Amino acid sequence: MPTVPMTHDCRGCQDYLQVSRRRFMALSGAAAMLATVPAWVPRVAFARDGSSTPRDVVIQVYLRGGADGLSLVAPFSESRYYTMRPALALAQPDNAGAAVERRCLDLGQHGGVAFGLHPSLSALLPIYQAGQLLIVHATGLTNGSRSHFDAQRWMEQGQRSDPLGNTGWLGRHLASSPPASPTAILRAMAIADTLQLTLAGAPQAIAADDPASVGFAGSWSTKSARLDALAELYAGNTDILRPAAQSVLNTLETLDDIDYDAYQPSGGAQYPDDDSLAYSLRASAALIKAQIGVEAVAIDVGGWDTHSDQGNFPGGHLHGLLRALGDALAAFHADMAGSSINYTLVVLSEFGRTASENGSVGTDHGNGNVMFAIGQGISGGRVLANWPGLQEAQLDDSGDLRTTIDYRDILAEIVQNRLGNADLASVFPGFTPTFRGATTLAG
Amino acid sequence: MNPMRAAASDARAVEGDQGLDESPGGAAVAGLTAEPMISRRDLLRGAGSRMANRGVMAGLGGLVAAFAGARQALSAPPTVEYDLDPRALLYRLVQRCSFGVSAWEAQLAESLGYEGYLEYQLKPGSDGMRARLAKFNLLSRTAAQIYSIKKKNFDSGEESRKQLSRAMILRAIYSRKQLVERLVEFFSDHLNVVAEEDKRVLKLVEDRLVIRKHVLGTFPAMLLASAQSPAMMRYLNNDESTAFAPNENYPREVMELHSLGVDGGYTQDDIANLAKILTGWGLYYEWDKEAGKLRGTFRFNPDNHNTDNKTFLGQVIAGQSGAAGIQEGIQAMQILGGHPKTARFLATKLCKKFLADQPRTAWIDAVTATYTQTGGSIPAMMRTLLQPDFLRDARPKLKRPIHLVASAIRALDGRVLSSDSDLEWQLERAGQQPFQWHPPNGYPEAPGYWANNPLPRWNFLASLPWGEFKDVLIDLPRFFDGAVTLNDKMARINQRLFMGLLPAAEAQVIQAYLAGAPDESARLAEALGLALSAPAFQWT
Repeated sequence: MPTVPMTHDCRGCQDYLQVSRRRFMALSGAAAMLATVPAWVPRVAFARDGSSTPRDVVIQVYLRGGADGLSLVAPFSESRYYTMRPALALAQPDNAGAAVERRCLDLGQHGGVAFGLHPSLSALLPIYQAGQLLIVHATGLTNGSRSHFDAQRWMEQGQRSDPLGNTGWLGRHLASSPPASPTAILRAMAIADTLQLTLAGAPQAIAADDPASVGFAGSWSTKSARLDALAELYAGNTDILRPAAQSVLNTLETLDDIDYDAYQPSGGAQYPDDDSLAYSLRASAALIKAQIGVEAVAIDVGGWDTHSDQGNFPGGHLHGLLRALGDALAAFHADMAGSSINYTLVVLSEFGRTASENGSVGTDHGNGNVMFAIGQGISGGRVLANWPGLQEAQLDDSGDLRTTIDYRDILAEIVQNRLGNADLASVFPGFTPTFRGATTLAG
Repeated sequence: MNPMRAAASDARAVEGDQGLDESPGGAAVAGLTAEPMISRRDLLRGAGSRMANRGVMAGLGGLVAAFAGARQALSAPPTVEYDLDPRALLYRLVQRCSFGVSAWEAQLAESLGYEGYLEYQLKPGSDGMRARLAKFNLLSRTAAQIYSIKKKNFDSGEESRKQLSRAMILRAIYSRKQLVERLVEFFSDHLNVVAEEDKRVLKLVEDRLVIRKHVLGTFPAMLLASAQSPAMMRYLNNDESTAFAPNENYPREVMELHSLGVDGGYTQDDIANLAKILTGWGLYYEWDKEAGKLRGTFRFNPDNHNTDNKTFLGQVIAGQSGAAGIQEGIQAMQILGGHPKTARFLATKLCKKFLADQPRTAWIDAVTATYTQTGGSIPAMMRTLLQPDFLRDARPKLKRPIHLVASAIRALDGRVLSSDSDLEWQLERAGQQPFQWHPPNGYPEAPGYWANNPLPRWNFLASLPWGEFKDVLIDLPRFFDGAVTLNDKMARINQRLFMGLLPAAEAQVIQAYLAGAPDESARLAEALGLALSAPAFQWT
C-alpha cells in the first residue's frame, strides 16, 4: 500500500468533507502532501480496522444475456459437442488440421472430461495455471428459467422470491455484516446506471455509470449550503428515495476527490483501451485502493444474447467479447496482486445456451453454464464439475446441458470463507449449500 | 460519464452537426406559447363529454430486524397524504395524464374540470407540434424513402435515431396530447425495440406505424402490427427464422413480455410451434429484387414457411402453403390478442404505470373487464383506469428520468432549442436515453430501479434553472414576474411546480434557502434547483 496518513478522527473526516478538490489543490500544503501520497488518492484514507474480520473485497462481473458456456469452456473430449455444433465448436487443442485461433487451450482432464478454454480468453490461462482461477461448469440455477428476466432476477436475489421485498444476495451479505472498516463512508459501488438487484438492500451503496464523474453541479461558493438543504429535504423523508440520497450526500465530496485519470495501476497491469469493462475494473481498483471502505463492486457486461451469427472465431462477435473480457480480468488481477488487498471476483451469467447451434449460426436460451471465481483465496487451477454429459439421454428435457452444481454453493462458500460472514441463512435464505473446496479460509 | 459512452455521444454530436440540421441557429427556436391555445372545438368536446403483504418473515434470523425499516423503505412510496378535495384530485389526474404540470396544462385542467380534462386527453385535437417538429423531416417517411436520401455526410441510421429521440423529448415537453405521449411511452417500453444499427431507421417508422397508429385504438391491432414490424423482427430475430430452423426468440418474448405474461401458462412446445407458425415472416432487404419502395417493409415469404400442422395454446392451426401461409401467424396473433391472460397482463401493467406500483385487484379486474368487453380498446381501458374512485386511492409514482426532465422544463416554462443534444446526454447519464434499452422488457417501471441513483437527477435539476444547458432557455425574470416579496417568490415556486400543494416541511427548507439572498437571481435559480430536487417533485 502507498504510505498514506491514517486517521480515525471523525473531525478529520468532517474537515475533509468540507474541502473540495479544487480548493484543496489551492492550499499551500498540498504540494507537500502530494510528495508522499499518490495524486489520485483522496486526502484522507481510512485504514482497515484490525479488529474487523479480515475479508476480501468482492467483485461481481455479470454477463447479461446468457453467455455461451460451451464456447467459453469447451468439453472437447465429448464427440457430441462437435456433432451438435458443426459451425461453432472449438477445435481440440492438438488438432493440427485446424487453425490455431480455432483451437481451445487445454485445461486438462477433470472427472474424465477434457476441457479447453476459448482462445480469446488466453490472458486468463496463467491465472488458471497459478491456481487462482477456478472454473465451475454445468452450474447455474438448478431449477432455472429460460427467461432472461426471471433467471437474472432469481440469480441476483439468490432465491426465487424475496420475502424482504427486493434484495440481492450481495446486498444481504453487506446488510448482515458490519463494515470491514468502521470508518467506511462507502461500502458498495455499482458501476451501472442504477444499483443492480445483486446489491439491492446494501447499506452505504451507490451507483455510478462512471465513478470518475461523481460530483455536484453548480456554484462552488454555495455548494455546501445547497448540499445541506438537500440533506434537510431528504432527512424528514421516509420513502424509498432516502437511503440512496443519504449515501450520496455522505460520499459525494470524497468520491469527487479520487483522481481516476492519474491513477497508476500496479503490477504492470495493462488495461485495454476503449473497453468499457476494462475501464470499470480500472476504476474499481482505484476506488478499492483509495480505502474509503468499499468492499463490494458490481459491474455488468452486455452483448451475450447470441441468437444469430455468434461469431466464435476471429472477427466474430463472441470472439471480440471474450478477448475484452479475458484481457480486462487479467489486468485487474495483476493490478490487485500488486497491492496488499485480497479480492475475490466472480463471473456469472443467467443461463448457458442451447447445446446445439441453431439455423442462424447462433445459440438460443439454454441451461447449465460456466462460472469463474478468481482471487488469491480461490482454490483454482481446475474445472469443478459434476459433468452431466452431452449424450441425448444426459441432456435436459429441452436437449441442453444440465445444471448439476447450484451456483449458490460457490457463492455461499465465498461469503463464509472469504467475506467472513457465517450468516448464510440471511444471505441465501432457505438454501443449504454444499461446500466444494472452492476457497481457502481467509486468515 | 463513462468515456467509452462519452465517445459515442461525441460521435453522434459531430454527425448531428453535419446532418440535415441546416436551419440557422437562432431561427429554429421551439418556444412554449405563453397562453393556452385551446380551440373552441376542443373545449366543446371536453365540456360536452359524459363520464361514463407482507411476506413470510419467519426463519430469516437477525436480518429481518435489520430490514424491518428497510423493507418499508424498499417497497413504500412516500407517505404523502393527499387530501381528497377536488383540486388535489385534479392535480393528481394532470400528473398521471401528462409529463408534469405546466402553466398551460394547469389552466387547461382547471378550465375543463376532471371529466372534461380526461375526455380531452382521450379524444385530443391537434398536438400543436407542427412547427416544433417541422425540421424533423424523416418522421413521416417510409424506410425506403429514408434509405434513398443521397446527401453528403448523411447517415440514414444516425439521423433517424436522432430525429426520433429528439422528437420524443419535444413531444413529452410540448405536445398538447399529453396522455397520448404517456401511452406512447408505455407501449414503447411494452414493445421495446432498441434503436441501434439498422433498427434506427426501422424504429423511426415503427414508432409511427405501430405505436402511434394504434395507441388510441385496440391492443390486438397493435400487437399484430408489432409482429409484422420490421424493427421488431430484426430486434428479436424473427427475420432469420426459416422453415427448417425456426428461431424461438420472438415467439418466446411475444408471449412472455407482450401478451400472456411469464405466468401465462404457455409451454416450451407452444414456443416451438409459434416459431414454426411465424416462419416466412420477414422484411424486404436492399438486395431483394422486388424491394424498391418495399425495402424495410413487412414481407411474407411462402418459400420460407413451415407448412406442418401445429398446435398452439391448445388450438390446432392447420398448415397452409403458398400465400395463405401468412394466415397461420395472423390467427396465432389473434389468439394472443384475444386471450384472457393477455387482457389481465396488460391491465395489470397499465394499473402499475398509471395508478400504483402495487395496484389493487379491484382495479385490475375492472380494467381487464374493459379489455374483454371492448376488444382491447386502449382509450376505454384508460377511461376505466382513471376514474376518480380509483385515482383517489392511487399511490405516488416515481418519475423516471424522461418524465423528470420533461416535467422540470414544463414547470419552468423552458424553451428547448431545436439542437437539443444536451437533453439526450442528460438522459443518458440518468439511465434513460430514448429507445436505447437493450433487453426486450423495456425501461423498468419499478421505483426501486430508479431510486438508488439520485445524483444525475440532482445535477440536471441544479443546472437547468441556471441556464447551464445552451439548448434549453429558462427565463427566470419571466418566471418570477410580479413576485416581489420572499413570500411571493415562494408562492410562485409552489404554484408553478406543485399547483400549490408542496408539503410544508419541504417548502420551509426551500424558503429558508431563498431567504439567504432573495433578490439575487443566482439564489433564485438555486432555490428552484432545490425545489425541483425536493422529494415532492420526484413523484406524481
